[in-house]
Amino acid sequence: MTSPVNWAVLGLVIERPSYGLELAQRLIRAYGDVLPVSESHVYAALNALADRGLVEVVLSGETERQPKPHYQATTVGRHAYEDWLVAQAEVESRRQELWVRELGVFARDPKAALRVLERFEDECLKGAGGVGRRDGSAPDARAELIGALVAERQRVATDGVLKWLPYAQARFEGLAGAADDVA
Amino acid sequence: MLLELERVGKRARRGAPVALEDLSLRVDAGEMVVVLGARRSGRSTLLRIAAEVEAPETGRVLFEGRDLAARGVTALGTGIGFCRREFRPYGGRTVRDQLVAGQLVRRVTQADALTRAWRALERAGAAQWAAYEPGALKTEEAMRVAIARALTSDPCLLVVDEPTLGVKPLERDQILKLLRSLADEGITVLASAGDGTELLGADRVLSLRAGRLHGELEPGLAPVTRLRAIR
Repeated sequence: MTSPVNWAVLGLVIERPSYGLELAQRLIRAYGDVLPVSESHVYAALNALADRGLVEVVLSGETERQPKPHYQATTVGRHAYEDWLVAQAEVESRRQELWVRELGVFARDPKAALRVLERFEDECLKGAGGVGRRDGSAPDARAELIGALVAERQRVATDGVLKWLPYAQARFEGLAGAADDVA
Repeated sequence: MLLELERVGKRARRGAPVALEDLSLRVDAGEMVVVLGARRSGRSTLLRIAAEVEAPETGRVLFEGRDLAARGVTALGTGIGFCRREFRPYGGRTVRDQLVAGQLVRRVTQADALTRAWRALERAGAAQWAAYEPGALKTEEAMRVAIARALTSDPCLLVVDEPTLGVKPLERDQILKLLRSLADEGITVLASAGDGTELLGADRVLSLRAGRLHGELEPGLAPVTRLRAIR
């Protein structure tokens, strides 16, 4: 299961069992700004999760005329969700490697690589001061915690890239210098 | 334009192996600009030159359109607050004494100096340490006091070298938010950072590498509200 929406829905069900419409509202509130989500996604996700035994349906509100089907996570679902979060370490590492390999096509044209790196650095610097600047408006402790963790994560990531850039630039400058010597 | 560095240069030499090459930078009023650089990148030299604590060997520094060197006066008390971490032993026993003594050399009266000291300490969130000896302060507390000391001269430009060096992450953000709030009040902030995690609140981040500045060297097009009257 690779859909990030499915995993997001599973996470919300783990946080608190909900019925479909409530889940859709929670999904949009929690992830609407980072994932393309709509109400129909939730039902597709719930079907996929139920098929894999990661969520189960329980009927609640038995006193009501039409009890609502509530979705709750199974034990397997909880374990799968934790495993998925851990596995993202590998995904991030692969994404970075992919990017560097794509840059590596300029090994024979180091000046192009240096141009890209220069612009890439400018882009990183542009956003750097704004990271974590949104604050003071967190509606609750959970939102405040998530906001702070995201901000720190992004700051550390920016720092990592900015520390890597001089190394990459020095390596391509070395290649460019060697090419000039040959010419 | 509040501050302009025009093709500023400084040669490397023994004991100070820092070379700045032909470096230009413009800073508008009310901006917070952070210069990011590794150790020995020249970031401190750059800030000292911008604050006119140190003179460039080539190029010039304009503050409010005037050449600082040509003005022939010390920059402190003329609109630039250079934030020093060190406290001189003869500057007084307590934080409050230090802040007062720093002003007396600028011919501020004792009573006025005391009022300004309290006001600056409160603004920097450091009033609770007024009676402490500077040596007893934690890193982040000493930084707030240092910012307060620079604020006693009512600067238009506050220059702070590594405001969050050695400060823990939670306090780090509080200090950066303090600097941001000063910029929002119209006090231009020029700071340095050794680490990409120390950039919160900056309008522009520039990186200093191999003696050259990278990034946006000019202010953006967005108008900056100038709240503080420039002398």
